[in-house]
Amino acid sequence: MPHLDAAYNLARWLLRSEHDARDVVQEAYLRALRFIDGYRGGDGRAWLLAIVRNCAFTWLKRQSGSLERPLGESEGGKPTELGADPDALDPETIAIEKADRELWNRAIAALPIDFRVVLILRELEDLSYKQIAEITDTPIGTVMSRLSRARKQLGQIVAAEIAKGVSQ
Amino acid sequence: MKCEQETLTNAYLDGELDAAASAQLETHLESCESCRKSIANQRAVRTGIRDRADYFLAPESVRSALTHQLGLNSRAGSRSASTDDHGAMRPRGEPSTFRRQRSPGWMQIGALAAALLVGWLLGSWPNRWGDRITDEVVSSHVRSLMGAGHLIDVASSDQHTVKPWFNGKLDFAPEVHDLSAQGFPLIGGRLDYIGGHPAAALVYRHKAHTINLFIWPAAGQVGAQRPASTSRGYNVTCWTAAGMENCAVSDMNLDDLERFASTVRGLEPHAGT
Repeated sequence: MPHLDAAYNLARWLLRSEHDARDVVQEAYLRALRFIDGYRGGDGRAWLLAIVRNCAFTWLKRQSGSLERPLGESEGGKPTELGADPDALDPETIAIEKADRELWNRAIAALPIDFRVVLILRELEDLSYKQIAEITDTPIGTVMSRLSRARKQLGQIVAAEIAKGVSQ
Repeated sequence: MKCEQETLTNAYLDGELDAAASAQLETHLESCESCRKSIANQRAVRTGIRDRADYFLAPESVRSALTHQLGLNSRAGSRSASTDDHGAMRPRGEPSTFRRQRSPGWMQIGALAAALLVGWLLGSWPNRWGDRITDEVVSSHVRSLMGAGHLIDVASSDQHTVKPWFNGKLDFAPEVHDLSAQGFPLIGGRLDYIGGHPAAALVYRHKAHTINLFIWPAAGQVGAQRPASTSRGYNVTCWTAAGMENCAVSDMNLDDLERFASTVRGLEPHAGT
């Protein structure tokens, strides 16, 4: 089954639930088969991941009535939930990359969904901005700014968690 | 303090800027501490997420449920309940779950389903020689990753185990190097068949990605490196060296694949020829 792991990984990160991810991946493959006529050749993985993403968003909408709005969606909105001046937390000097797996996973899961999508596609699937733009149906400029804000916010969350752990 | 160029630093780090824009940004970096800091932070985040974030593998139950639903496995029975049925995370650097026990019936159905799906999902069949080889190696790569085929015959990260394993199985001796130090650990090898010849397939891993490196004796024209290509969502790069055809295939990005290829080329006995 081509690209099944990539499809499942994306769904699992977007839905944050094993059970929902299973259902969405199945739905996505069935839909892919139904709409195979719409496939114009080219990048099969990107085409499929776009379907997975759409299915996941539809699923979330159906569940909650409305999609969770990403924190950073209002332009310039600072992630303030950290309770700290973001500039004071320097992810690099705190050596965030050494933080444990569990902390990283929690921090990624806490990101707004639009940030999570670009981050997973870029860092775990190694896709180009162009491919991510196709999958998320957004301009490349938007991909770039979301990725930028996603990395910044993620670094701050991890740094804040580490700082919290140290001070306790 | 925020610099307007900051968003660009991401594109720079991701290798998404063209040469001119990269050079421009590098000049800017010399004078902008804020952007230098931003790049250092992004690097830390990137390393963190790539090394620490879970990559969730599809549970076996999803695979088999799909095969059922697509109507390709109505009576074959023996749904193999596999060990990783809980969305298990891929243990990094390990061959993982590619060798599952399956009954022959299941394997046939699996192969049929796989062939059909590969056909519909992955599109058209080009016809030039290079394209035919590209197609063959991509197909072989895809097959090796699906349960219906197999990824490795000899599982070892030790080049001195893998290389002798090919003795007597091939009429040539492929160069085998472990590239762990360069970020591409060797995980094993297997026999394959490319372009009408028996071929050695060396299997490497890079993060969550699998790389197949196919090696077989070059026939006739000894060309240099051929341009990399993308086929059906997989990247392929081929070159000829020391009388051998080499093709590396993976779903990882082209930059990383080229880096892998140049690492391998750098180790070949007659590098550069």
